[in-house]
Amino acid sequence: MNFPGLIFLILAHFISGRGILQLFRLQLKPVQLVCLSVVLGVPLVSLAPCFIQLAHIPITFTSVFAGVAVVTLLCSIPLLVGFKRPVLGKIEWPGIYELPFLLVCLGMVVLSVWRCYYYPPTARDMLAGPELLAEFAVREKTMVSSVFTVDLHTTNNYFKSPYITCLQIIYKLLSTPPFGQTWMSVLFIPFLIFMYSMLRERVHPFLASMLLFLFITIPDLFAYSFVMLYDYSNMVFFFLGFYFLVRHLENKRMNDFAFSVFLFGLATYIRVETVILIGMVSLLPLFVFFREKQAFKTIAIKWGLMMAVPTAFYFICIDLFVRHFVPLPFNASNDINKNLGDVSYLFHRFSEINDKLIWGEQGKVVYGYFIRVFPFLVITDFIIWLTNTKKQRFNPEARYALFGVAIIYVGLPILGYLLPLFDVMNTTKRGLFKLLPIMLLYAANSGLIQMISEWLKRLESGKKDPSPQLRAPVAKAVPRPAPVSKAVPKTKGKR
Amino acid sequence: MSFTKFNLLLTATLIVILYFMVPFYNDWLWGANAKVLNVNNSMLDQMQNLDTSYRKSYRFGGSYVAYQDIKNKLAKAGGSVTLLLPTTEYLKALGINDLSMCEPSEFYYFTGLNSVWANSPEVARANWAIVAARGRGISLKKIKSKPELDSLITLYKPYIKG
Repeated sequence: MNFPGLIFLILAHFISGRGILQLFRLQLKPVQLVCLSVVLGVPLVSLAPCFIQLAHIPITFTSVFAGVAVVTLLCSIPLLVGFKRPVLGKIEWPGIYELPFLLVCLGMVVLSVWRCYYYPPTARDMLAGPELLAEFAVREKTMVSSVFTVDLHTTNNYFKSPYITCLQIIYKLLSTPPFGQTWMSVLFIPFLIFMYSMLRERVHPFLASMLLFLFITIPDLFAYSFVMLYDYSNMVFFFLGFYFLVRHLENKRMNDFAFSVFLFGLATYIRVETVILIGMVSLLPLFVFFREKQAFKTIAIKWGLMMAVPTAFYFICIDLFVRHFVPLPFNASNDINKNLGDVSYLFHRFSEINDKLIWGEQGKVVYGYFIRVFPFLVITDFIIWLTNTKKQRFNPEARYALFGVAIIYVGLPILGYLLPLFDVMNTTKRGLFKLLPIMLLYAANSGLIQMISEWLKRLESGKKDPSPQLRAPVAKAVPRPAPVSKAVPKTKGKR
Repeated sequence: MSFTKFNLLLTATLIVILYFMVPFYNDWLWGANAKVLNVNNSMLDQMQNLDTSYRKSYRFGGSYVAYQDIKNKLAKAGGSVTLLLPTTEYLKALGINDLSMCEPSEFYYFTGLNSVWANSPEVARANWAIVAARGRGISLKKIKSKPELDSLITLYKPYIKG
């Protein structure tokens, strides 16, 4: 293992991600900014071998090192131009009562990192695709390697995004030969910390760490944190795109919207069919914009942007990278269902997902009880909402998250209907990962969990009545008393 | 530490214990089918065995060892090789259950050797074959004539899915 190489790459991810984040000028906590920078830097740095190959430069340690350095430098320009001394906010250390949850999480993270390093890539889709291409690109110093002289009629995995191939090339050469893969931990750990921070903003730390614990112990999600495939990364970027879209719908800041669109683009770069799901997600902002009576032109521009950026990433991935790196004919239309008129297949797929994956025995093995408990949480929230006189328990974020869950739930069967290769027990199973962080976002906004959170905050502060600060969701609806300075008529004269 | 915090600490500990007492999670964590803390998968043991080929054989199993054996034997034979692979289903039909055959692209990853399946458009290139016999396992055979290749194709093709 090459530790200096690993540190160089982590820094490259951070700096390139931070540079691009600077363009969007997001209002985030320092810890979120750092985590998001590293996460964002992973796909950005992955572009280095693509550019090296396009320039017909041999793929070697030196060229990849230089390529990563150049990509990092280019991405860091916005950071260098508007450089300010970083403001280090106060670090919120976990409470002692969070330790049981966080220690389990830490143990799982250590195990995941170790397995990422120790095991070779094993998934068939990788060995017959990106890992195969990366291994021979490293050996033969070109991405157009002898692999394409092999009988490839049993697979189409070499047509997938160069995201993993390139990261594997980088990590095999610069950091953790011979298996690479450690980039998955570089993505996984900051994402978890970001999720934890996001949860802490919404609920009491006890509940935040408990929800994180429930999230990390989803069996297959944990497994795919060290089993290399596209789906974990795709879930991360799709969720982050959705999260910043929700932020935009709440705070109306265009920066959040632009960043969300960019993240959706990256999710498409990782798995191109994500663009169809993004098309479905775009119904949410459309609905909200129309309800807010925004100008038709503004709505059209925003929607157009939301669709155009991921589509551009789709074309970059397929028409620039795949066509240049795979010297075999590619026709995307071959993958599309030839019998789209037969809608019964869609319903069949829908029931198959429910019977086998969500409610079947296999579903328990894959997701534990996480997905199964979710409907009961929503029903409980609904009952609370019905019985609560204030009627504010479904806050906007919870409603948007519910919409997100519905989109994935309906969207994946539609994807399976459009693309028959999108099978149930493999592709759809992993595609459903996208549900999980959105469900977590919902849980953090759930009426029930908010009630417990408020109760815990009161308990901890030793107050009987909730202070306005502690009951944020309710406080929004209650008109605040005018500030004293305004309520008291001004009087002339000296104090 | 305040009394409330202490109570919350106890509650959190209890939740973690109860969670892992649920049969499914218990089994997943350290039961018979454990995926997290498995004695056959111990991190401490793995730290003692950092050799690359050990890690590969550990993860890919006996089949990987067999592929390496095939690679070494064909390297000794010399010359250009395109190997005709049977499928796992064919091997199972002959009672060979401890070996799984991968597809040509994976075989190239493991060995660097070109190979084909019986239904491949490039099957005519095959000049070596993996042959199997009930009770005697697998062996390598040089294909000397087209009828010999055709008879192997006829034998292997019915076991190819899809």
